[in-house]
Amino acid sequence: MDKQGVPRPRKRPSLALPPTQSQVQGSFPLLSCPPEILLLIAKRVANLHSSGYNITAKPRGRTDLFNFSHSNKTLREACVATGLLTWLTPPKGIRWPEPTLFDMLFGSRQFVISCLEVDIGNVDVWELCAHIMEKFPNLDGLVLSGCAAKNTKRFCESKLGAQFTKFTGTSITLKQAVFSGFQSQILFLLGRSNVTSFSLLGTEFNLRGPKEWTLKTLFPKLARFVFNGLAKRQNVYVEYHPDFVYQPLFSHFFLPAPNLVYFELLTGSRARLLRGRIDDRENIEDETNTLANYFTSRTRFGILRYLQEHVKTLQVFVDNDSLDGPFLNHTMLLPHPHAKADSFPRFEKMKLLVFRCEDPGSLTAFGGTTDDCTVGSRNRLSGSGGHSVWQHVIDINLQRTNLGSYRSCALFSRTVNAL
Amino acid sequence: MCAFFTDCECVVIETWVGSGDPPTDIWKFASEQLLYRTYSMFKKVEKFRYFIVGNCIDGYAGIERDLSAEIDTEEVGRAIWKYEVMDAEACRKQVTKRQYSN
Repeated sequence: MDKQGVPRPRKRPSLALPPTQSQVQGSFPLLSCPPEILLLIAKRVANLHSSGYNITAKPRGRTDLFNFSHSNKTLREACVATGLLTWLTPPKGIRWPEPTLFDMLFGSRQFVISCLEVDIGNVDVWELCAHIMEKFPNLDGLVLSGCAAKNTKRFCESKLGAQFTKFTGTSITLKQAVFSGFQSQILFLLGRSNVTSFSLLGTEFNLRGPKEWTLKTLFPKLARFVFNGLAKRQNVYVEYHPDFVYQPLFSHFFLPAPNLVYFELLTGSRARLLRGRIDDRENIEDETNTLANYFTSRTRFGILRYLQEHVKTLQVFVDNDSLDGPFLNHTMLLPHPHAKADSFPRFEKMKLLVFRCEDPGSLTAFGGTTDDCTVGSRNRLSGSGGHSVWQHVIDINLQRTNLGSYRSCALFSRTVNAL
Repeated sequence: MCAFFTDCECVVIETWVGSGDPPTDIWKFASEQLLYRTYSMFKKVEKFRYFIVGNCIDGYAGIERDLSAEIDTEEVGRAIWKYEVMDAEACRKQVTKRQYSN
């Protein structure tokens, strides 16, 4: 049928042999174009800035394939068949249709969904998400975003809460979510016994006050942990608890420590140098103790200290803070100011340490702020000939520069050890 | 960080896709810098063996420490180690062997 509803004549099935390549090219004029033209077309399609599908997230690193799938139905079917569009995200701000319509859309075909993103702050999508979870009981991943706010109890008693208890997947991600101690009971609703991978992406925990659970490891079989810290430190700064801001998270959810083998860390904030620092050795302490450096160090070193003290099984550590600096002085990693290096707890199973670098040239370059950008250190003035990138990659600096940070680490260590 | 994870046997610097080859002098630079501080703290370097730069799209390059060779500590402030340059495939094998892909 064409658009006017007039029936088109049916094509007869061909009984001939499969067409040769030249015949194919002849029947598809596009294929007779020079390869360069085809490549240009492909590149154009791959780089389309499409609005995307309403309920599927673009997989990271596969935007080009996603755009191909958007340009043609056959390509879309091929992409679906290869598992490209297996991540469902009911959109924000749209009144989602009844679950029965979802069945009409997805029920008639074998559709594989590996991951579902749930905005726990959006009550409108709860029913649909519960329906999807019921429909796909083998869902492997869940992504939770938003904040349940005052709907926590309602969530726990909802159909979605009931489906959470039946979750048997292996991957949980918290993405730009917010949890208080009370709201965190949502996490304990989840079927957690199979979870081996946990990603914490820009998520805020405020775990002061009474807890709704007895302290225990959230994911007992966890092996892989990806941590992306919050960029806005002011949102998580608690005046009366100036110690490591993620300490409650790790002490309430990850002690006793699971047998982690993989940890990926992005601090979320960056170290800062003072202006005019090059010519002034008087302000080294000031530089170390700026608020930005304090926030950054307590996140980064707090997590490293957690790993050092409690995780003996680590095999891979990925440092996602780029090697373009500035860098913190690693002094804070010492258990105490007079600690000897060989007394540190060791990672005896470590196999791989990964750093990220935008500009490989900076690894050996001198001049500007490339080689001399370690907080509280002046390589050029001291004549040490050191290079900040390599100090960061290699070092635990034994110089003592920041007692406040020692105190914070000691506090954190005492707290977690006490638990 | 290497001193913090002192038992690590492989260090990878993952570069951005399309950011170009590592500098030509990086292996010499790494051999002079990488173990010096670790050695000066621990007076020994046990497991560290591979230093690799690159990414899975552009490919990897790297060096392998000669474990049979003594670390030269005669020069004050330096601990230089002998190494052999690895080809791209050997580097990729070492990275994937440790179950890392990105």
